[in-house]
Amino acid sequence: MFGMNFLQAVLIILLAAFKAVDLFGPQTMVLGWSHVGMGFLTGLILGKPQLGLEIGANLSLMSLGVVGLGGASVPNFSLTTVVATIVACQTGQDYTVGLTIGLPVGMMSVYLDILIKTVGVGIANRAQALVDAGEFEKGVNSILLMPVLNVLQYALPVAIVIFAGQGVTEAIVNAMPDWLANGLQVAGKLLPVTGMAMLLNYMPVSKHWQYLILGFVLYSYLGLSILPIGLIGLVFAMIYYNSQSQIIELKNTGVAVGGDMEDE
Amino acid sequence: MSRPVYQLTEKDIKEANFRFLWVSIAAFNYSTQNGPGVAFGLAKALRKLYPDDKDYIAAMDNHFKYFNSQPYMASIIIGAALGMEQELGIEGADAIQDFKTGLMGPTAGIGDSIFWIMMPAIFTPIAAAMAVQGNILGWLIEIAYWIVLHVFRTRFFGWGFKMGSGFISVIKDRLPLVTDSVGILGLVVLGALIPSTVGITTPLSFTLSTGNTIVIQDLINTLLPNALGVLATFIAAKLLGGKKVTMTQLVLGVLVVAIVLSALGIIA
Repeated sequence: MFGMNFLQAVLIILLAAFKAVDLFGPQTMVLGWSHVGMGFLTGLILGKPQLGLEIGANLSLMSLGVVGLGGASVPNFSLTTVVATIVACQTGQDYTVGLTIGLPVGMMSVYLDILIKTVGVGIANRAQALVDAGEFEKGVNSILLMPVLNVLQYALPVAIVIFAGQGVTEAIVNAMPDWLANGLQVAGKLLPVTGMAMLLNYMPVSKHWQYLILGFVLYSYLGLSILPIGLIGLVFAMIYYNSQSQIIELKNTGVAVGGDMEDE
Repeated sequence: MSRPVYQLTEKDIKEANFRFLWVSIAAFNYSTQNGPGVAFGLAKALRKLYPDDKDYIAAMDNHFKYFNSQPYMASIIIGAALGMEQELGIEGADAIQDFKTGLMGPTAGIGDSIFWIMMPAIFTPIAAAMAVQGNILGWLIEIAYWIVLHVFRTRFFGWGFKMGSGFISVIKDRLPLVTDSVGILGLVVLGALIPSTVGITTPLSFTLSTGNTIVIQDLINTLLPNALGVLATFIAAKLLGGKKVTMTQLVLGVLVVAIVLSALGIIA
């Protein structure tokens, strides 16, 4: 059981289940959208909150912009965080070693997600058929099987890792040569590019690229930290919003706008 | 026009909102996507509007059809659709369906980029940057943001119901501008985030014939600090943007490249 007691195992599985209940339900995000909280709480349960924080932070950066938009299936970095934290805390290894187990689990869960959304087709058809046949209550309530499946999507992989994963993990960790362990350390520094790259593709970079330079200069040359940089960004966003909404108002009131305003 | 006799109460609307909130995302499937979630959400309210079985089945069949939008936007649209059921009755079925399908795409685009991409791109780095230093304050700030947002978001369904089909004009003018402005804030943060998180350096150095040793990393640091991380990020972004590389392939590719280049002593 990965060197943890039964209570710790149950708490971690419940944590994963709770994340799923919230994410597939009301999406309050009380644990945060980032994976910082998942790493921190898993680490806390295992007595190493600092290590959990570090893992959660790194996986949050790796997975920035990784969102299953419109029902797309993406690697489950929440699960990766939990599993990587378990492995790192319980084997005493670096977090990059935790990633070697956590990443495959997160990536394989894509198939689980696809499976559930496929099964969902059958559940939806059956529900509608029951309603059409006049069995209103039964048909409508049969849809509730879907939330249950989605909670299992999170809880089951974690349970399998905890109760059956120790042997495999130790075999992998023991067989790992030095060059691979070193390479993983470097990979840990390089992996955040995946999150940044995804974000760059979603952001209005071609229209407002100059603001990337502003952020870069504020950090790299002036050495500001992320919170003050965010506040400076807010100032620029407000200036842009105010100037553009004046243009919209002028247009709406039918007043001719002189000069070469941006056509928005 | 056969306007429904029953007038939905505040409590009915709250119940529909609650049911939709809890089930719509989980009920996702590949053929009708969030359709079953909409049907589940409106099932009780529609039954009150349509006591006649035939009308009820027709209304439910209408809502079992394909639907998908960003969850917050979906709440407004489905709230408005229920408002239209109240106003138009079963004869409005086609109008309601057109309204839903016409709005779900454009609003999803706006909702996704504001709520799922840009705002997380501002708060996640704050949480992560502080967490790396062992500080949970950033995480608490992030949670506070989501809780405040959630309080607003639970009202979206009711707003939609009150506005009915009238809310189209509200979103057309201003929301693209909001998206753009939030994007600017996100880009400033991202510009700082890339050099601060992609921490690779190179141990390469070479010795000139004069005997001086040139350390490449020192050169980079004086010219353009963190240039290697920025370069790696732009290569990765180009690969993803070309649509030929998936996220999973990119993560695996980065792992392999990092291990090979570090074994060769090119990056550290």
